Amino acid sequence: MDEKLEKALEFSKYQQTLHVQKENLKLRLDHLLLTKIEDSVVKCSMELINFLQTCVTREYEITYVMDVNNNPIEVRNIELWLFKIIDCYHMAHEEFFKKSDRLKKARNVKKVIS
Amino acid sequence: MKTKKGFLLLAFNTKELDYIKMAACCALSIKSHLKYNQVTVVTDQNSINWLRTSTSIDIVDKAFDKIHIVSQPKTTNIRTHYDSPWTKFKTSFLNKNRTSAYEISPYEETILIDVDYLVMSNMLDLVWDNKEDILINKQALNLRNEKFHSKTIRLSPSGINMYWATLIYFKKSKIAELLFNLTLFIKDNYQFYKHLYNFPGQLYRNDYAFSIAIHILNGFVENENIKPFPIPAIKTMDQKDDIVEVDKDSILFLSNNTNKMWENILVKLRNSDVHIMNKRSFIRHSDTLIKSFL
Repeated sequence: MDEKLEKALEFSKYQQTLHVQKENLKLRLDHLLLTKIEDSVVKCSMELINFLQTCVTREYEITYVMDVNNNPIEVRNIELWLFKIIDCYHMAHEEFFKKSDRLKKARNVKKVIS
Repeated sequence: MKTKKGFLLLAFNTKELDYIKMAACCALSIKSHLKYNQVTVVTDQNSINWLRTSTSIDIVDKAFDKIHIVSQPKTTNIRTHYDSPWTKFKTSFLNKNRTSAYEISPYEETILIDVDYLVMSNMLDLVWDNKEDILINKQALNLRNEKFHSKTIRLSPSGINMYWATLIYFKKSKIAELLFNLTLFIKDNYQFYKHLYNFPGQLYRNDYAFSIAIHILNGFVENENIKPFPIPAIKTMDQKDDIVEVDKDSILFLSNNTNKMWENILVKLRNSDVHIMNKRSFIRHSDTLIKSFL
C-alpha cells in the first residue's frame, strides 16, 4: 500500500477511536449530572441553578420544578436544593474537564484508550 | 435483615452457555458498585451445583443473598449466537419464565436484570423509591454510541416500539401485576400476537412480549406513560464485538463494523453499565471479572 494512504488510514482509525471516546465522556457527563434529592431524580443544569438562585433572591418559600420523567416536584427547601445541584454540577463538569483534557493530549490509539 | 429493595436474576445453564456464572459476575458487579445491592437468583438445582463446583461456595455466597430454586424451563427456544463475526453457534434459550418475576420477587421494589448486564457505575442507585411503578427502556446504543440495529427499534418496520426487557424496575403494585400477567398471557398465545403485531422470527423474545403488553396497557397507542430509567439508553455490546480486557470499572472492547466485518476499533467503557451480548466472550473473561469484583 502507498505509504501516504497507509498513514491516512491509520489516522482515520485514530480519529474514529477518539470520536467514540469523546462521546463516551459526554454520556458520562450526562450520567453525572443526574442527582437524587428527596426521592426525586433531577438533571442539574445551569438553567435549574439560575432558576433556583432567582427563587432564593426573590425570597420564594416554595417553588416547582420537573424531575427527569417530567413529573412536577414541589421544592420546599430551595436553598438546600440549590446547594446540592450546584455541587453536583460542579463535580460532574470537573471530571468532564479533566478527562477531556487528558483525551485532547492523546495522540495515538493506545493513549486514547488508556 | 429483611430488605424491600433488590435485584432479581434468572439463570439456567444450557449445554453451551454457563448462565449461572454470568449471573455470579452480574451479582458481584452489583455488590461492587451499588449501595442497594441485595440479589436474588432464580435458578435450577443443577446450575447452582455446577457453580459451586466450578468456582467456590464462597463466591456463590458472596454473589447471591437468596437462591430461589425452580425446575428448569422445559421449552426449547433455539437461538443463534455469534462470538465475533467469524463464529456462529446455536443453543437453547431458556427465557420463558421471566414473566413470573413479579410473583417470584421477594422485594417490594425490584430491578429485574439480565445476567449478561454488568453494573459498572452507581446509576441504578437513583432508581429506588421511584414515583413510577414500572421503568423500562426502549433505547439502546451500540459501543460506538450509534442506535442499535434498526430491527431493535420497532418490532417490524411499521410496528410498535420495542422495549428492552434487559432491565425492568417494578414495584409490587396493581399496574406492575397487570403488566406481568398480560405478558404471561402474550407468551402463552405468542403465535397469535406474532401474526397480530407482524414481527419476524420463530424465537420467543421477552422484549417483544413486554413491548406488546406495554402497547396494550397504553391503550393501543404509543405514548410515554411507561417511563424509562434515569439513563434511558442501554449501552449494548453486539454479539459480533469482542472483549479484550476487563477490570473492576472498565472494559476494553473490540467493536466490529457491521458493514465491513473485517474492520474493528477499540472502545473503552469506564464507569458505564453495559449489556454484554457476546456470551462466550463474557464467559472467557468471567474469572477475571469475578476476581476484580471481590
